[in-house]
Amino acid sequence: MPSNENPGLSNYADELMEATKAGKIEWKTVNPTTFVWETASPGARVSLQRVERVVPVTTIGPNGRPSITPRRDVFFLFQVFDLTRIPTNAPIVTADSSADAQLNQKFTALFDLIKSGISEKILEFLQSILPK
Amino acid sequence: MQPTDVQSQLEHLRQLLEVPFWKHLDFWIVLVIGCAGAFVSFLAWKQAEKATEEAKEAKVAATEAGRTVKLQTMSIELTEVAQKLDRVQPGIKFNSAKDLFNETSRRLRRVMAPFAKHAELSTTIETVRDALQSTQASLKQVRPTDPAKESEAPDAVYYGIEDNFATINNCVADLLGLVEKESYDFGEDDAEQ
Repeated sequence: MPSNENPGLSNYADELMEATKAGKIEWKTVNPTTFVWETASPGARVSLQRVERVVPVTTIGPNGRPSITPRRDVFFLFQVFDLTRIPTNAPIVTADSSADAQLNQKFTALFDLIKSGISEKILEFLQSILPK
Repeated sequence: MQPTDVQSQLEHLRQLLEVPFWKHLDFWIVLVIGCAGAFVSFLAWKQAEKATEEAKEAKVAATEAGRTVKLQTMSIELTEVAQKLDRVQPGIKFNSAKDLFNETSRRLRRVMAPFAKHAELSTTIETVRDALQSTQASLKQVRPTDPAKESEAPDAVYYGIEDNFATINNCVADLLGLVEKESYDFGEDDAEQ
């Protein structure tokens, strides 16, 4: 679902970023590349995953022989789950930014913001447990 | 002995020495035996050379037959691995993905190792190895921080590894094609011999 087809998603990413900056959203880490935010009312879960894929690309070298070099692609997967629906693990929205550079940029910024926010919280916790 | 006897003996000896050596029968007997010996030795040497050549050819044929069998085994193993890789489906859990990767990696590395320096296969084998490394890195990126909460992002593992497993599958298919071609070529070589 590229943002060109659905500009609402691009705007939603902006709003998520604002709310995250304001500390209104508490993101949790599911794994090193996936963050989720869950709301109690209405019951919903939003997840943002950074996906990195390595694609082998064949090129012809100066000696005329083919050589294979890996190309690294990074994109984001955005999913929303309605926890009031059954099954709850079926997403009601799935969007990946692999074909939309603008959306990819926004998700990159959001991902970095979430990551730094979580790192700050961990640091605060580490500071708090130090003997005073 | 009288002097005349001595003289007659010397005369007889002189007459004997005046006859050329090749007019003696014993010379020809020795010569014929010598030539026969040399000829037999030559035949034995030729036979030994032929036997060495045949032994070398037999060794080459046995080596190529062994390689053909090894390539066929590799082909069967690659086909099985490719089928197993199709098990990567949405909803796959981290542990299942890790087990699948470990098995895939172990089997591929084992069957590819003997052909790592093979002129026709080495590039593709290197690509498969790179794909395995990338997949291992992508698996680390989706290791759940809390396994009990893995289901909060049910497809995170799938999306994190899907492309890399697909790359392995594509590389394995390429390798399978080359291995089948190599097996076929060995067959042709054997037929020519």
